[in-house]
Amino acid sequence: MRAALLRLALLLLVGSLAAFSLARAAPGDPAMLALLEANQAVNPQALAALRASFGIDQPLPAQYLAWLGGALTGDFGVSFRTGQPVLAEVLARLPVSLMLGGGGLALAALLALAIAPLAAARPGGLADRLVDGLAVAGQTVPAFWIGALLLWVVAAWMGLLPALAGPWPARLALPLLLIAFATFGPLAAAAREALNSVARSAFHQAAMAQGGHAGAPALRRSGQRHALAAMVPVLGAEAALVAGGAAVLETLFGLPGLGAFAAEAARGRDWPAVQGGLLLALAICATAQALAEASRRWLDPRPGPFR
Amino acid sequence: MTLALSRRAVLLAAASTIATPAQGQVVRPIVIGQTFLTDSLDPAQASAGWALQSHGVAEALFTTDRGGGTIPNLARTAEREASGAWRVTLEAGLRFSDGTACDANAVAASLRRALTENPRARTGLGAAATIEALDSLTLRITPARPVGAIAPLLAEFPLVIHRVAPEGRFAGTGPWRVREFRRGDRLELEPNPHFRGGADRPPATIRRLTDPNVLAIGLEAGELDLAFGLAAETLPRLRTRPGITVVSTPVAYQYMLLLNMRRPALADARVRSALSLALDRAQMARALGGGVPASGLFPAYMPWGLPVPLPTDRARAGALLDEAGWRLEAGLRRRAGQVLEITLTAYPQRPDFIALAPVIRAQFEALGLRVRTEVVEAITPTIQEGRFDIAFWTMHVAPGGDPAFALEQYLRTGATLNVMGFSDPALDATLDRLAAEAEPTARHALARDAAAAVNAAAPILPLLTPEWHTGLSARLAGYRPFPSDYHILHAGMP
Repeated sequence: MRAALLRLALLLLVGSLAAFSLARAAPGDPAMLALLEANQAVNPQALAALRASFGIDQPLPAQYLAWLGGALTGDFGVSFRTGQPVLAEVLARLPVSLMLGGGGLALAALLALAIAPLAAARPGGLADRLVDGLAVAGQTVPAFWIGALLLWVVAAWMGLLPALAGPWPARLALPLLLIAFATFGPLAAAAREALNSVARSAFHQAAMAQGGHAGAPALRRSGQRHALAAMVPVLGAEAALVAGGAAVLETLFGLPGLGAFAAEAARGRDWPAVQGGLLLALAICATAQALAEASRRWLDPRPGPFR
Repeated sequence: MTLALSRRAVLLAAASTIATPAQGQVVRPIVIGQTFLTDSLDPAQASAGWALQSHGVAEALFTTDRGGGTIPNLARTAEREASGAWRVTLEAGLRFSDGTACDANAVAASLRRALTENPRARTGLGAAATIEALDSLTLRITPARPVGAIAPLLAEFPLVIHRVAPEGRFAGTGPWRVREFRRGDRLELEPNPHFRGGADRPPATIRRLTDPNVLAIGLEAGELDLAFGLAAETLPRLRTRPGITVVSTPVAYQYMLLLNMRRPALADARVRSALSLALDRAQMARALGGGVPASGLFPAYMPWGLPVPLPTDRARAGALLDEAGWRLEAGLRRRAGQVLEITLTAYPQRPDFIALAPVIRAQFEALGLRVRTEVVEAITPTIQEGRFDIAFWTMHVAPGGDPAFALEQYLRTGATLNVMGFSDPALDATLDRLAAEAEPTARHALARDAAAAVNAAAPILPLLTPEWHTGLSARLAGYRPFPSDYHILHAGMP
């Protein structure tokens, strides 16, 4: 446990340096951009005043240490664009991103658990081909394209859902479905693979020989834990991908999430917001991976592959 | 039918509703979709003052009219005293949205707070400006440096007038006041009962939707009553939809090309003029599906804009290049064996420029130039560091209604944004006169002279006055937003 915490601390320290450097890697002076975007007079005095108020007139090491020192006490600085504390900005957006990412992954996992036994029980059948098809489609069809299409069909053409200005459930439904669509394939494929192993296993064969029912229900009964254990690492890996994909969907559906916020911060050279967003994303991904690993160990405490 | 009814029911349930006590009837808020939303309710934070003004919540002492000129708003007059200070008189009977009086003391406190809290507020008046209330309706404002016209500075967004209530809430003077704010998502507004024009207007919800194509879908779906900032490619579709009105308005974010005069070929005024004459601006407008061919630095609709669009004359352009020694040989302009070659730089944040680049390239190539196009991710450092021949650019040329703003920023010798390396003592002298002149008509005449001089010297090539597109539902069919993003919600809302 102590080693894990140390690893996490080291990861965040390296991550903080990477976030600080990445934020500044893109060309552009935040003070100049702020004045230009606000249609304000750009002159040496105005630029100097704004740079001083941003704290970017200091040498880079001093800026980094000041930011790191603040971050350790929960002060991630003030956003250049909004003038608000970064932590407050990030925390205000975190629930939407967690709801979107977590909800989408959970929906995909439930669907995968429902369909994988059917796919494993009948190789080459409809469910098996569906898993293969969605695994390819989910990873290759751009989220913004299918999102815009779905939005137009469901909201504008069919008029089924107030997906843009309606209540939260209506606004979250389509992006949740899209995240589930994008992540279902890998999850279902992992579950199917685990169930295939179960189908070939001695204990399952023995159960069948003793008169147990064959097919999907039997696989579901005897292999659910295996399927779950196989899906958990995939869930951890997909969490990072979902964070990226969610930014696109948040922008498309006008959801005030962390991904869209970070993307806008990067465009506006809002260094504190970029740094804070990256660091939090790193922390979330590291936590997701750690949780995934812990869950996998709980589901299958034996070392090595499933048997 | 069932579907339509159930959707309407969901929409009605979803929309925040406000009962008008006198009539007991429920008024559905108008729903506005737009790409930006205030980041704070404190007008002194960053650019929140601008957003709150655009949302119809805050107002400045002066504002701009539909022609882009400065007009009185909360203030009635601004007169310069012999000392260089300005005496500003307020309208009588003003109140903040919380019912407290908006008198000279309150206005002075608001301005002082903006200068203290927001570095952006100091760009016009200066950090050392002093503000004092002389009586309940009169203020004396002494800018940190002499200014020819203070009204445009007082129209700037960081100086919107506000009051900080004891519990930390902010009150403005606009036609609406804030009922609920969800950062990055939506702003719920209710009519300001203390607005000087009365409170007879519907509540409003502003939804932040950053994708222009999604704004169109929201309008088609009946979720939005007003979609501000539609993409041009969605307009033909929307115009065929019954119940939807599309209004296209020229805005003061003039499109232009900046010419790097440190490049030997572009240092020659004849070459620059030839490039201007080679441009077919009407063709550009067609390529973008809208826009008005430019007449100069300022849009023609402004009181100081030049009325006649810049000409296209390829024969004259060719003659000017011949005169400059760039002869047409084997389809290319050459001088001493060297080809007249330029790079045209665009940037992705303005998709219109990506669309215009091949059009302009073809127009220059027709003159015998060899043209390369490039797209850079960050245009500002590119032009600041002189890494360009000809670069696309856009700016609001008169944000506070001040004709001197863009001229001083971009064309005065040595100005920070004079990335062209342009210097014209005669133009500088005109700008000096403009800075000292207070009378509006004389200022407009001086600005026209300056714009004509810029056209003649051609350090920048104005292209188009772009159009912004607003979609309106049947409920708002008669509503007309202002020709900028400063007043998307204004008191003229039906």
